[in-house]
Amino acid sequence: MMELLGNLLLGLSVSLSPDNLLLCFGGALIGTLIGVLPGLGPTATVAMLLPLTFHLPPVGALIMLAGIFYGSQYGGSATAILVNLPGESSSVVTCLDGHAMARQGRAGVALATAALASLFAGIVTTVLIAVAGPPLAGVALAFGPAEYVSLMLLGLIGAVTLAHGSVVKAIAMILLGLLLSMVGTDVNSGDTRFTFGLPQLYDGIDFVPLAMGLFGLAEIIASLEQTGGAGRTTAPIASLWPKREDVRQAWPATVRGTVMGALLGILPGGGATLGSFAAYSLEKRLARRPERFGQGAIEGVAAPEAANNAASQACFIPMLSLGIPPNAIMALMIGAMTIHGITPGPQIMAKQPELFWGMIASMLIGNVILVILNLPMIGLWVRLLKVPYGYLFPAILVFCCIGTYTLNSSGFNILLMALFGVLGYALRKLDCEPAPLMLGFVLGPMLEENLGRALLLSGGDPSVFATRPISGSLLAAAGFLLVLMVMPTVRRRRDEAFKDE
Amino acid sequence: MSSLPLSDLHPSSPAAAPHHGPSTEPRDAPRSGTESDGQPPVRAPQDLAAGLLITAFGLTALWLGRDWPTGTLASVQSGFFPRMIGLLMVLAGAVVTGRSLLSQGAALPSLGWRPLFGVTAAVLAFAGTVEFLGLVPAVLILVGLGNLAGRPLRPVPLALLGAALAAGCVALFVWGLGLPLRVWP
Repeated sequence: MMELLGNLLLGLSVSLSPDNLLLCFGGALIGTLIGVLPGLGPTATVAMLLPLTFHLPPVGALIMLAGIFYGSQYGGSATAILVNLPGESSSVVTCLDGHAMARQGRAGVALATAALASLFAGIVTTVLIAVAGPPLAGVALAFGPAEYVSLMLLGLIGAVTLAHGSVVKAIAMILLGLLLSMVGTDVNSGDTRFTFGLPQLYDGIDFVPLAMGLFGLAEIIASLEQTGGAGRTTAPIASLWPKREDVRQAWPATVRGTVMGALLGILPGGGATLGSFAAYSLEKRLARRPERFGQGAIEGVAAPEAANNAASQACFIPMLSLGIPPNAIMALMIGAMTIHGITPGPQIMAKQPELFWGMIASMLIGNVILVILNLPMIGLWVRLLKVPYGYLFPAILVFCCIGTYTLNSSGFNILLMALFGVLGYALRKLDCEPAPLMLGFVLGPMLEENLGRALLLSGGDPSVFATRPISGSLLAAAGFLLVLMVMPTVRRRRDEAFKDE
Repeated sequence: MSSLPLSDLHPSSPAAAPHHGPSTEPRDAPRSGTESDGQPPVRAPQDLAAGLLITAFGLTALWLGRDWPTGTLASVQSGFFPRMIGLLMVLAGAVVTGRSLLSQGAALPSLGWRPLFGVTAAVLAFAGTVEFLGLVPAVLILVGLGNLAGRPLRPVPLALLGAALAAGCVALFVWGLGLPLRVWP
């Protein structure tokens, strides 16, 4: 307990330094600003804003990225409530009751509820990270290559649950990400693979053009296709503060949402979408009058928003302590760490305590900043939503291009980004989600290396993955998840077939 | 967890069943005419396209890596992992393709050619010009081409937008962050 306090104090001393406080504030502000734009979810926002952090010291860069991440998540909720457009799948449920509240002229209350529920969830989960991170990292130190392979497989299979739609397509996207990760020079043998003789590819594909193309450009193209560049009409905002009755209804839902979100967020592949959906269905089950849901029930905003935030922060636990990203955004964070020369994993906590604890403490501060920032600025976000997209998207494009270019001052990366933009758009049209691809891309090198090493250690006997106890149980969990996912798919397919007849 | 919202879908299936009842043969000509035009050769064109694309990626990977050494299980070499993933991809592609021929699915989506080409052209033009002409002309060209991707702005607002973005980028990236970017030709 004393150790925990000491660690948190160390973290606070790092994150309260004027520089880092400013970065945290700036990150949350810019994140909200971009996240509020329709069609730009947290993943796209973080991908686009990555270059802003290249020139910062590592701790500052990660603090700012974390700020951008939860800022964009909050911005996405604001868009969901005001214009009924979810930026990412995790705010789909918020649309249901949030926008219904907005149509009743209670948009201000819905936004304030979302902010306060997120704040509560954020604080609780941050404490959870501080408590659960170190023991988990201790477990991870006992991991050998076989365990890492099984853990990564579990994470990848878990990521499939995040993708809606076909399980096989999501697996195919992971495989495509793994293939893309092999481009370049093989570290062990020095052989070049999939480089097409281009020297620019010898170092592999950089993940910034990949992420910006798949998420940023593809989303811009898709939004332009839908709106043609016009502005949006938003719901009016009257009062901001929830009434006493609202608070009485919202707070138990917030607590339940937080628990649900934090539990699902720790699981590999869990993440914000599953958390918010599960919290919403739980509230609907518990409600005395479930028919109020969808008509502007405040619990239907508080619970998923709390779960969403709790889950997206709990995702940091596997990322920071095991070095395994549970979803695409954490994959981006790992990419950012690698750019700064930090190898994520259990050794971070021991070797760079100020980085680990500074980031955790900055989450506490960031959540508070977010509320202080957003309640007075809701009016500004509403005005921003009315700016025609025709003016906004060129600015976003310029930003993506310069960001990618400055990575190593080469136009080649911009070409790659354009290529991945087209690929991302095509995949979207074919109902293949790009998020699992990103995860496969980041995990690819680690997976290949550990797979080879585990086989080497066992003398070429693939059964090690099943016979070593931790590895075996991780694999069993992955298999269980796969079976679990396939079953509802079978059912859904049958339902669809029924409807078509 | 995800099965909870799905259970809401169930009431719709009994509702669909009586609809199915009156027409004694499930697949007679007038019924299929209401679903789609004529007798569709493929039941799930979108899945078919996705399956073929996935298979193509897998086959390309296998072909490119056909001569790479795989080694043995005890000491895998650089060709092992690509071949394994390529094979799995072909397998996944075959499953998606096969299923698209057997079960009903979504039609091929319409593509937004204008935004696709406009945005891609604008980005490519930026890539081609930023090194030789400098930041300001590249931004102006990007804004000009990108404008064609959506509903075009009128000339005056477009010029203002371009000027503001170019000035903003120079201020933020060159003066603010001190990035080594060429500004003018």
